[in-house]
Amino acid sequence: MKRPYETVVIYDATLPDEAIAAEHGKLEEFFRKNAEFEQTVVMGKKYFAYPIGKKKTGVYYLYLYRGEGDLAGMVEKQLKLNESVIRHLSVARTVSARPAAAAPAQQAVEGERA
Amino acid sequence: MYKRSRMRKVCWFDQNSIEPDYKDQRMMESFVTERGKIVPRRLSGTCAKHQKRLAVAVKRARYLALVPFVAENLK
Repeated sequence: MKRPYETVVIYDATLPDEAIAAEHGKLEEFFRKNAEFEQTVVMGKKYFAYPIGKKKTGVYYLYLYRGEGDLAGMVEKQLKLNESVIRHLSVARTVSARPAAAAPAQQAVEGERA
Repeated sequence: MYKRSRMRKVCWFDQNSIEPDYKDQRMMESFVTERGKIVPRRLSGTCAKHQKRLAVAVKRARYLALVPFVAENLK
């Protein structure tokens, strides 16, 4: 039975935009291939609440998809091997989850904490 | 004897009919103290069901660095 899942991926913000876009494209392709891909929500560039490996900012992406139970392991493997991914979290999606809440306009990162 | 009248606290999640969401940074920050601790339900008025879900959501948000683990890392 296919169940709804969501994965939040934090890409390294020090990488150029093209590199992040390429990595995002690869991951989206992986989801299209191995799962019933629904949508991507770009949560934007955000400041971390605490530094992760001397890094202070990251680019957050949310992927929504449906898949079988063994998909979680595959996603985990795919993301662990990726060096441009700082952190990731995959969870089973609840019915009430609102993808819209994940996408506030967080583009003003530079202005907020200059 | 002086009787204190108290307003009955209402669960914010029930009132607005939404669920705790770890991706919603503003929501998570509003249920965390300055020290980075989860606000207890006796203060926030959150119902037991939503407090439980909120605790899970805050812990997920902490892992994703949306909310700090401890006070010294506060913004």
